[in-house]
Amino acid sequence: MSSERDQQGANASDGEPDAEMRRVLGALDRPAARPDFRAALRERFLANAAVEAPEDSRFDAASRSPWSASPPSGRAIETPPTLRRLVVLAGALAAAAAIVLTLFLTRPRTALWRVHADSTATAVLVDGVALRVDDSTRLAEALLSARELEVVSGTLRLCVRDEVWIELAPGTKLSQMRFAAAGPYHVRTDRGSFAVATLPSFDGRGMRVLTDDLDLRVTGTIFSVDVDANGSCVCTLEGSVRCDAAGGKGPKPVESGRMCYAYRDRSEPTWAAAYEPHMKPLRELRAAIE
Amino acid sequence: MTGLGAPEERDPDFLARLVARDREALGRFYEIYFERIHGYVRRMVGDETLAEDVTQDVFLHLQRAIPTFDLGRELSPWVFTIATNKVRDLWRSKRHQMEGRGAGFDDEGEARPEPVEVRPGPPLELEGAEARAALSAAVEALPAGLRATFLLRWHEELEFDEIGRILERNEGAARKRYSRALAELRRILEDSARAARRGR
Repeated sequence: MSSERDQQGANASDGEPDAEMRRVLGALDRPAARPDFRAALRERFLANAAVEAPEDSRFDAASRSPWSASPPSGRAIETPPTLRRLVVLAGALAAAAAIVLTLFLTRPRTALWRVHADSTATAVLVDGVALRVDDSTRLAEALLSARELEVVSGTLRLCVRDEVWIELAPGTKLSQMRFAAAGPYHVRTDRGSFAVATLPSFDGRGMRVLTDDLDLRVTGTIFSVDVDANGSCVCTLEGSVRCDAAGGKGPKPVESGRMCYAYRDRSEPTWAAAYEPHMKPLRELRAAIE
Repeated sequence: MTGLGAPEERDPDFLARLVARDREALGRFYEIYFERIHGYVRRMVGDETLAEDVTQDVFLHLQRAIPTFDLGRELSPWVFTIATNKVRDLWRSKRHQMEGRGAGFDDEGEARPEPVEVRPGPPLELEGAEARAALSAAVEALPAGLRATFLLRWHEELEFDEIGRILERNEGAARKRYSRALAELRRILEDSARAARRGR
């Protein structure tokens, strides 16, 4: 369109806004984000930053501190007892500080994700990268920023932040994972069977679980989501899950012992007593974590 | 323009440290881009929950891709290409389309019939919070293709050839879209101003 009307608001010569539009557009703000979302994402974004190298690791004899100089060879130097004690004390303090620092730096990274001893999965795909389940340190590091997790064979049980246990049956794939320090957890089940059991420390956290057919909000419960070719099923063992099912008439709770099956073709969902084959793994999960 | 381009964006030393995943440089990068990416994504997807999901996707993608950034390129166009692609992925997702919320960067809106008589519109006289609300609504009412072009130009101060590459158009098309976006914004704001006068 090249009519005069089209040019209103813009200088015809350069396509930039005229003075009046610039004044008006000056009031346009960027939408603000939630501070806790901003902070949590920052933490994840910086989680895999390179470890800072020393400023200059090259050995430079000329600039070396005289206090660290080696004594001339072939000549014993008698250190006064007080000085020796100070040196020993300083060394002990430095060692203690190093231990504390190491514990501090490693604690959150390894404690965030923990593999249950009963897990039978031996390898998983984290963001498409194959990792051994028994390499717990590397797995925990990878899960810190993971968006996708897939279990090829065996069952994987993971504890997140000592707040929630999740279980992935063989063939299960999760995506859009968000287990940040702040804000509700978020995960999408692309396929397979995904079970969740919240712990007392989960209180107030909240969790959202999506499939192609379901949108679940969780505040504290034990439940599972099973995605098959025809739709998605949610079964609740304890507590309740707020369930917005495709083809349904808005969110409804799925209480303990109940289920909802949402169909891929968007026909009316089935709300019924829980499906026993889906409840059995939930009971096993509950028993395993008690 | 209201762009917040930071000097670091063109600082070779900063960029080199960024590519090396230096923690301080990554932190600064986050400070420079978080509000900009979130704001862009939020305006494009129109929903805060979705915006958070997409913004997170963008930063986690950037986290993996930063070591591969070509130091010969401009940083902002690269970042906003990734952000735009993540929005595009969302729009193409099965669930999004099933919910009838499909959109695309090709959307430039319906062609308007040529007006028989062109008259100058009323002055854009909204002020303060009223103006901000009307402006925000007007931007979000733009067709996606015009909206993205407008935001990348007005807020991010990208060149038209860069915007064209991001939105898979040529420079001329990007320039034309920007003019159309401004005209459309003016029309919407004038309608808002008229409606506000009638309501008083």
